[in-house]
Amino acid sequence: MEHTASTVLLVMLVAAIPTLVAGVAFVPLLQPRGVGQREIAAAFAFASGLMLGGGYLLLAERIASAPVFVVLGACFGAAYTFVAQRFVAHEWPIEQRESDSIDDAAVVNVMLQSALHAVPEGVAIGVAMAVRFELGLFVALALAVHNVAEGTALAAALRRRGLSLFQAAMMCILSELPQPMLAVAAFLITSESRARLALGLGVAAGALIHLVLTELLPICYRQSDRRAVALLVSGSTGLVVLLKGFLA
Amino acid sequence: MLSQILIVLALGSVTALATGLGALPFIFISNVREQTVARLNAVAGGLMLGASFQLILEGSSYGPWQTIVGAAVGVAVILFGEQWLEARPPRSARLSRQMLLLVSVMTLHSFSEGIAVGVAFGGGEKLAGMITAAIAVHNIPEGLAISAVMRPKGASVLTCAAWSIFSSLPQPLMAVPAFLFVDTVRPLLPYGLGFAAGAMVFMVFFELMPEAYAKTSAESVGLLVSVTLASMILLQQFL
Repeated sequence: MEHTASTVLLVMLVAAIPTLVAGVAFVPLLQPRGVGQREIAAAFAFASGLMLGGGYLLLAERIASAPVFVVLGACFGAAYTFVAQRFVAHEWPIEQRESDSIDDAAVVNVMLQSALHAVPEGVAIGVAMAVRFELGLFVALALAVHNVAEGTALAAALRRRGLSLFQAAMMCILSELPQPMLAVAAFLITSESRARLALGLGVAAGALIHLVLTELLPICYRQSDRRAVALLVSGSTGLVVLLKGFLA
Repeated sequence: MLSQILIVLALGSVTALATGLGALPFIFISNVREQTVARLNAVAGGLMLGASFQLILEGSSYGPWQTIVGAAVGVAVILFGEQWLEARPPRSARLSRQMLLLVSVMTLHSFSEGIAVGVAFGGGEKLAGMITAAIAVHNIPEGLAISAVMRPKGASVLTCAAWSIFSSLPQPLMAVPAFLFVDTVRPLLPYGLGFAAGAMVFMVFFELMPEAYAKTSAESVGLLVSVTLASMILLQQFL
């Protein structure tokens, strides 16, 4: 899409969907029996497939016309995730048992982690919007699924720290705020230039694929059995690539 | 007509033989540690994912719903095939359960590719050379995927090459009837492509990835899968 005042607003609205979804991700916690690690892992597995398929679509979009830019961007994206993982410790609240204590540092760590993930995720929405509205909407919806998993895990940790539901919801939204902000920035930067768009698509795809492979899938395999993970990931990945066929 | 059939058969055989080239790098890889196996699993996973995405895209251009049905059947076949194989320990130690499953998956998926070749030939003759080249080049990483799993488990380079070629034999065999009965076969193509993709993707996330994560770091799995996946996408764009 071209950038005009109305398309920028549209990007902002679409990119706000996953962030707002993170704000209601505490809802499953209201069930009397709570949410098990396996259920969160299942949500992560489903989201992983969507993000993997989405990464494939973003990569394939411009690789024929600007292979150098796309591949260069993908290296940047993967390097970003790699560095971000070094910057904050690898600790996920769903991998802790109920009896483990959570201190403020752990909570800050988890929020920081979500926020760092949200940066390339926002870029992904923005560049996808710059390509086509449908692609952008799709990426935003895939990330909304991912935010449900991430938000539920974060909200569970915050609740155990004694925060109210409202406070937990606000914290979840806060940690996903980089998504709409970077979506708009990425859209403004990439919608006018083919080279920058190819670079941006590479960055987004590289970061998403690297994130799925180095963080999300290993958690899924640890917390759930491989049959369930394989079924969910194959199902959601296939769905994405098929969707591309429907849209074409 | 007969000469045309012979051409389809000959070109189909060339694509099958190309699969054997995937075993060649393993002449130079002699000491195979557990970590190397895990890394090769990741490489095979990336190659198979890239191939499957392409198959799904192609299938959905013929018929998205038929592709979904085919993919669901593909996943189910692997799921039940796995359970069936688990219940029966293999009699010979030379072919492990995983090797058997991988070779079966790759062989089954060649049937659909053979049909694709035949249908494409039937569609427009001028494209024949290009299609053959495309399929042949894309078979090499598939042979690589098979060898990457078989070689560390003690199979010789020759055995790897032989099984790689075997897995592509359905291509020439299916290409000829598909070419002859192109109008009858064409509607079946999206089912076949979907089936192949479903079976391969499921195999990747059910067998290859868990083993890769178990024996090497998530970082190296991530790096290897992303790089191979990206190379597959590049390869597909330029063929």
